[in-house]
Amino acid sequence: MAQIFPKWSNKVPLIVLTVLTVKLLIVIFIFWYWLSPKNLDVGYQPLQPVQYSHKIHAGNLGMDCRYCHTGVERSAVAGVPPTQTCMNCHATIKADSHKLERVRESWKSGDPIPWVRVHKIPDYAYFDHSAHVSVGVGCVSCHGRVDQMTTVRQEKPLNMGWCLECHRNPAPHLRPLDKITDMNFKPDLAWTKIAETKAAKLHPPIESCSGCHR
Amino acid sequence: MTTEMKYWRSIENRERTENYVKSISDEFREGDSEISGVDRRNMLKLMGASLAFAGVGIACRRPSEKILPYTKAPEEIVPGIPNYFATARPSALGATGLVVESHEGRPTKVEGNAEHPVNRGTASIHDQASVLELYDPDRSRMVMKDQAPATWSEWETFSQAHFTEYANTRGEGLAFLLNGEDSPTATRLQKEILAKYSKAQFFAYDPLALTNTNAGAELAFGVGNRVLPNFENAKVILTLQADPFMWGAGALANARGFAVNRRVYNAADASKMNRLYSVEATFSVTGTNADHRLRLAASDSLDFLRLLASELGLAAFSSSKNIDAKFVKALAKDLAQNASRSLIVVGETQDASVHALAHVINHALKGLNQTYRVIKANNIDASSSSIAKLVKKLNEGEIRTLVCLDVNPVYASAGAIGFSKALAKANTIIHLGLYQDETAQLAHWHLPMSHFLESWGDTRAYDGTTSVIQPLIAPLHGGRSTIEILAQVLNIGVKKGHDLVKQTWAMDDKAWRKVVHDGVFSNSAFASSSSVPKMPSFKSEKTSSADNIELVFQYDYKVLDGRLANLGWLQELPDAITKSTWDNVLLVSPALAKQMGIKSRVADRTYRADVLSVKVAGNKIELPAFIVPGIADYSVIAFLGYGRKNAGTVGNDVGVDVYPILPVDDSKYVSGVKLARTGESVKIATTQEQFAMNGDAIQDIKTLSLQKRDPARENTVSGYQKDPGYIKKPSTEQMTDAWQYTGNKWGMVIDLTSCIGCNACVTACQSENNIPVVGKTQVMRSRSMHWIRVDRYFTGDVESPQSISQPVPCMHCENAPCEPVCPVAATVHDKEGLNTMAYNRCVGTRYCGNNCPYKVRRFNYLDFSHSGDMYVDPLDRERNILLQMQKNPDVTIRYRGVMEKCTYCTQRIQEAKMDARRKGEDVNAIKDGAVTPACAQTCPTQAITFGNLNDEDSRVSKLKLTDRHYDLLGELNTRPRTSYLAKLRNPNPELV
Repeated sequence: MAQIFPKWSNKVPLIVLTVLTVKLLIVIFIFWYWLSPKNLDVGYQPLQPVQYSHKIHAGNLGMDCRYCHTGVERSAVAGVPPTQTCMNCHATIKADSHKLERVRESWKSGDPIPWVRVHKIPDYAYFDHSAHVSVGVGCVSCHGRVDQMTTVRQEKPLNMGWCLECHRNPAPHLRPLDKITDMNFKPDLAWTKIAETKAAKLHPPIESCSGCHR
Repeated sequence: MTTEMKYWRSIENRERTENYVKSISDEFREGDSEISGVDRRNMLKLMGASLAFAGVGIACRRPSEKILPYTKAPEEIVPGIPNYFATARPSALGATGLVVESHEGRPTKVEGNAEHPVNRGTASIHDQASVLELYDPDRSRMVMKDQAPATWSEWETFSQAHFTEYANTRGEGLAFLLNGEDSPTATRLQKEILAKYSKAQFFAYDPLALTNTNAGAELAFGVGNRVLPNFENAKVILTLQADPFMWGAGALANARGFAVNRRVYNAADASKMNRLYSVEATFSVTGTNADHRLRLAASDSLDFLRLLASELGLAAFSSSKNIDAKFVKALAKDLAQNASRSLIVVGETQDASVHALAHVINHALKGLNQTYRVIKANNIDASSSSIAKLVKKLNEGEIRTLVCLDVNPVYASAGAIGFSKALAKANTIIHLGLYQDETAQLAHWHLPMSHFLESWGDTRAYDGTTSVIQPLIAPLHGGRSTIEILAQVLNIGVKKGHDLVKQTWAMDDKAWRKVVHDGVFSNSAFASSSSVPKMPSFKSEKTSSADNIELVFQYDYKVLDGRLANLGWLQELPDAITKSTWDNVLLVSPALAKQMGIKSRVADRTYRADVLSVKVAGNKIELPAFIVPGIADYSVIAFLGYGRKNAGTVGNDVGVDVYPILPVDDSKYVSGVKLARTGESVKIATTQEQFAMNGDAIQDIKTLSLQKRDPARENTVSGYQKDPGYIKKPSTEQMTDAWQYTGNKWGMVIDLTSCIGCNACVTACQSENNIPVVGKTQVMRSRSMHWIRVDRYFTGDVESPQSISQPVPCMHCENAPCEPVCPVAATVHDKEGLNTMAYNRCVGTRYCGNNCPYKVRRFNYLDFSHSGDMYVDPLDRERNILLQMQKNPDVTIRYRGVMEKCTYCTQRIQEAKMDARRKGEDVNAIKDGAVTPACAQTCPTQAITFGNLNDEDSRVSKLKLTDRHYDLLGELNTRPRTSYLAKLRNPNPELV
């Protein structure tokens, strides 16, 4: 009696297994390389050249955001502080810490520290920090609880739909101007009412193309 | 089916033959989107294939982007906020005061300095383009010794030894050649050099120098005098072969002064309007604004002026030449009637004696200190005769070392002078220049010069107003300035420009800081001198006739004497009259063209020009002939500044070099030119027939007849006084209720009476909005990218027409025809009435451009900005890095496949609103004047007004209510936000 299965069919399970394994590996690779939250918009958390912790400085020590991000009230960009700002304190505090090696090196050589950008909007969109801060949109609305982050990560999608959500209903994101950098601010009922009248007067947080695209 | 047009762009446009109409009718045509040979279908196939491959290899992982902060932050720089610094652009025509915008230490945009008494906040095309010159990748980057790279320290060793040697011989055999720029520090150093090397010789040569003009003033008033016209006080103006609004002493000031008396907003104002007579061979920019234009050969000008003088009772004269006696009589009467309010200005083409005669007449008309001032000035002799003297000494072997500082006489001097040949006689030639130009090629030492935006200096305007030149950036290529090199000659070590200038002025620190801040030394203008002009003696023999054609030489409006030839912005700027780009042409009159059988004509949206050979005294060149109505019958006009060999990659071999036939003396015209057709013809990239508004003649739906629709409107003063409401507003019925704009409602008004057609707005826009240069072949395919174009129309008969200039930016129509046809809603209105363009949404269908009746939309057929090609030539990348530094960071760089157009400088509007927010002011009621688009800011005559139409007190709202106001193609009911004030002319009733 002839064999039902030809001889090569012995290899079929092996082939199937190999193909499946390779496919699985590809899927894993795709998720790991492209789709892990570290590389998506929300969750992007690159390693920085200096292990600077916002949690220690802004959280534990309670430093105001504007001590370093000085442009935020005046300019479109909040600004990353110059090495000098670090050295204001670290010339004396923890002056020998190995974590600050890179900072001291920059201070000595004059070469800037190459920080990796976390919050990025496309080149054709123009965002102005000062315009938002001066009407009472707090840092936390877009950047999340930076005071709790050891390494900064992106919390919000920063896409156009997300921008427009707030532009269409800004009241929940407004706060008194002295509470802009306050990460713990919780609006009370009285403020909610004030915020609503304030938002009505803002007219418009722009929804037109020209507001952001030039 | 022909109909005669009231406003026409060209002779062909006037006749409107069927062929012509067909050839210009479509903005986009079959094949327009093709990249040489590859059609859309094949392109898609290719793209599909490459996309398939692209998917394999390219990781679309988020790229990591670096932020590089300062290590020590400079006090005055807040990232994101530009700084502004005052400086000045030196020129032999007189300096202009500038304020330069700087982004984090990177100068990006030049504006006029409002504190400068001459240009008062306005700027010319050359000022605007100077920032591109700074970043020009072709600039000289290293010291060259005998055409091989060397270093500054080698030069220092050499110069130390070399000039010490000369100190022993008191400078015998040492000569310097400077340009015509008037710098007090350079003058001081020159004196010190002469004190040390008493036998050294100084020469100056500058093609731009107003040699004949200054010589005329000296002839009339004595040595060291200069005449300064004041157009603001002049009611009757005669320009004789002159173009004072574009060329010559204080052009920006002249244009502004002229326009002041043209702001007529009601019938009562109309009587105050000035009157301009232009008598000229060419069609100058000033001539396009004339109320009366008389075509007159340059060689007949002296006789014309003598006849005028005789008519005014100064010196009896009768001429054998054919000069319109009626014109002279009426002009003389008008001038005499407006004594002390009349002004005669003579152009640089004319000899000193003609200038002197004009001064005599002006004096007789009591214009002194009214319409002109005589000032005691520092006239520099930078004439052709000055360089001829140098050539003589070189040939006699008297000069062993020649130091050429920022001059290029090997290219820019009359061929017959024989400068390059004489140069070979010198043992050592040292050349300092921005480029390794023609002179650098023959020099033993070439030193890279620092640009004026990179160096300290001082300079004088034509009226003597002195400015400090303040650098905006450290020298990009380590260059040095003229004064630094002069100081080196003194062997006092390497001195910084800053110290040299400060030493000249010896001021205390506080006063010095104020001068640097303001950009000008207050009240530094030359003092008036009052003397009575002497009647000159005359010699006039040149004539022109059918068999004795005269050739007039003119420096190009754009590239000047050729020094700006490597600037793409200027090369691509359409000429004010011919609208030609990337070429110089010979202007010929229709009469001469007919007589010689010249067949130059509009062809396929460009121009096919017959090439003529032009022979002057044995020298011959070949130039394409462009037929321009309104040119004197037997005069032809050639433009100098083209055909360079060592300008750089942009300017090399563009156009034809006319210097070989330039006369040796300083006269700018010659008679007895031999013209002949060569039988060849070339294509000229003129934008004259491109972006033509089809609305200028449309078919009436009911009668099927062609209806004239005039893009421009005009009237005479008397006509306006009789019927101020002469512009009949079309009915603009709406089928639906109009949208109500609350808050700001932006609008613009362009006054055609003030607009002189100088093109400054085009270059300002290009600089502000990152508009790319596309090159000659692309211009010929109607792909130029300017967001604002200046349409030049002729009106009247072909022989002697008048002209009108009309700047056309996006109209921001309330009923915008471009919007409903966009399939992806990439162009939509915002709440303040801007017709916005979201580049990232645009998919490039070009439907919007097709549907725009004003033809103001521009499509990026290729990656003109070099912003994102998959493959970039490494050499190009290097160039682009420098050019990128000029880009305005507040405006998106557009990639290929995207439509773009005027945005009303939306970035400036946004900035004003952000500023209001920061200050807690009402963002919906921006103060008048807080937003000024780039075009309006630089406009020398302030013809463009921008503002909020919801603010009743804004300048623009008031202008919109005046009688002369009209909407371009208003009958289409597009409700444009940009609108016009009709042109008014003020003809002399006796000449009508």
